[in-house]
Amino acid sequence: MSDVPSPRRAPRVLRDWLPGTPREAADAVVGNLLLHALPAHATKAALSYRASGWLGTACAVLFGITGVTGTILLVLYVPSVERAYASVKDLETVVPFGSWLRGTHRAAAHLMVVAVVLHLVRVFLTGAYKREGPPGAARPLNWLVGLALLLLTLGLSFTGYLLPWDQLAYWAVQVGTRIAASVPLVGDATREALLGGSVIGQPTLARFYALHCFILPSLTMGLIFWHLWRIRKDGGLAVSDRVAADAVARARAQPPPAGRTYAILGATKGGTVASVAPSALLAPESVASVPNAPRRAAAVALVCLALTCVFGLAAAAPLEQAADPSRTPNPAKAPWYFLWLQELVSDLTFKVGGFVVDGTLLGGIVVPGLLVGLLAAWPWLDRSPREAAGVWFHPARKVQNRVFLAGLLVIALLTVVGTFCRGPYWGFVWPWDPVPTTPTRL
Amino acid sequence: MSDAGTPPTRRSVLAVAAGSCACLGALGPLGAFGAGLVPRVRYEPPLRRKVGRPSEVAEGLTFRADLGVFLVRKETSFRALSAVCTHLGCTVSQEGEGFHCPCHGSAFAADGRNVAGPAPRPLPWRPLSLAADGALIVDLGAEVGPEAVLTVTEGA
Ligand code: HEM
Ligand code: FES
Repeated sequence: MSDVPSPRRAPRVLRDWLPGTPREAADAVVGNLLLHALPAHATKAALSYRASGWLGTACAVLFGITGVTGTILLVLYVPSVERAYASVKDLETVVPFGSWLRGTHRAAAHLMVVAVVLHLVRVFLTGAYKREGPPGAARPLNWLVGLALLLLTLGLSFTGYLLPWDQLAYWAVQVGTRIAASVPLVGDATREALLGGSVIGQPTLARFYALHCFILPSLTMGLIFWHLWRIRKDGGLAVSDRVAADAVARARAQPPPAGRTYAILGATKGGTVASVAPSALLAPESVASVPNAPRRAAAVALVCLALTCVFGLAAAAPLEQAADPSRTPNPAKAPWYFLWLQELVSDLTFKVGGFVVDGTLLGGIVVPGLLVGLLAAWPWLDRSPREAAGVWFHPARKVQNRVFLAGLLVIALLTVVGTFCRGPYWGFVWPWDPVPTTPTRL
Repeated sequence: MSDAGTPPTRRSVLAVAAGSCACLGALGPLGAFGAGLVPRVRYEPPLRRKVGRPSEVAEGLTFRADLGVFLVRKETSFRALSAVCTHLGCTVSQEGEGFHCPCHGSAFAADGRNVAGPAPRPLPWRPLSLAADGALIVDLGAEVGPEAVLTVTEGA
């Protein structure tokens, strides 16, 4: 293959990434381990920033950054009740660039929560979870994989929160695991399993360490690969289906041009190549994946890296006093993305006659459980036509988009109240009131 | 395995049986190793704890951070009130007559009754007793009514 002359030859190691000819671009997808995840061609729409914001890629990049920074932290951190706090203090004060390292790990973790939520929002608002596409496509399945990734992302944050063994860490875990214990029947056993006993101690730290540094990252990485592979199986992004459908409709309107008919959105099922749309139809709408996709991915990665490094420097990761099981900070606040749950847990306890509604179970388990369940079932509840898949704010999905956005707004409002309007003893204060508050740890 | 329509062969039946046995067999060690995650020995602080000599307890209300209780002394009578919020386990602090929780804003009266917020139950009173050496013992695993008082006349 290499004897095909090409106008611009890159050095051999780079040739896959900087193909000089369409032939080299196609070969790259087959011959390069990293690039083979891509289809040979992709629609311009799918590669655009407008369709997806490349937010999923941002999630993966941020996860990668936590992986790299986390590996260094892993070596410097000591997972022992006696020494954990001191080892984090050392990172802050002794280790060269340790504070920046910690800050960057934390910034990447927080940005990942933001990116995963935004990615979910974009997938929802574009109806990109709808069952559609070539034979073998199952976007609802990928939506479920995505939901699992959302839960894993939150789990990673929660377990990482305990490791510094400072005050907020200790009390967040105290409260969080007691919420788990409020579940009827299995609650107490769950709390014991998480804590490795009935109180927070060394067994708890060991468990959270294993979860945070090995179990959850491995699961997340595995699911990310599955998620990306599913996108291939689903025939690329949902927006491509629209482009293909439009191209087919246009072609039907006029006599078809003579053309090759191998599948460019080719998904195989049972060994045969199912032709989605003749490539000749889609050719004007498509470009070679290489180098266009990796180039954009690199741009997204650079933006993520720059953001995390700057945030890591600007907002250094805080470290409270060492964990003290006898003294609770006042107010004791969960990390910002769990504050809406803390609000619910605080607000949802009320009496109806002699009957007391248990806000812990309701706000900590039932409401979030229902929300996740509802999201999981949504692809099957959504009855909009197939034309609504892969389109921002399709009119047929107007009502559900509004319901979804209203739900998000409520969560955002609860988060704001929890962050800015809760003072000592969780009492309501205005942000401008002069009260001695412990700032929320961001 | 056999396609629909073709009857299973001896070979395919044996293959399924062997595969199932292998899977079941793999569950054994998995269960055995997993059982290690349930702690047999717990290195946790005991529930019956020494408080100190009665004479060292000040009159009125004292917070004992190490025990998570408020000691209440009225001359020769002693009581101990848990400082662990019955909602989700944060440590309450004294505020005016009663107690407030910093986590979700529960409030308790001086006798431990839950008067506001999400706390589902009153703060429990813990039984006090005297050890052979005359020291006070609090049992953090037991509960008594607010009226249960330990009266110490000697050495208080
Ligand atoms: C660690 C978390 C995640 C990673 C790394 C990730 C990664 C990706 C990537 C790279 C894409 C390609 C398009 C894009 O960049 O937007 C994608 C698409 C998709 N993601 Fe995710 N994702 C994550 C979480 C989620 C969540 C929380 C959901 C929803 C519950 C979800 C559902 C989907 C679906 C349905 C698609 C296909 C969209 C389409 O066809 O247009 N993902 N994901
Ligand atoms: S832990 Fe005391 S109010 Fe929630």
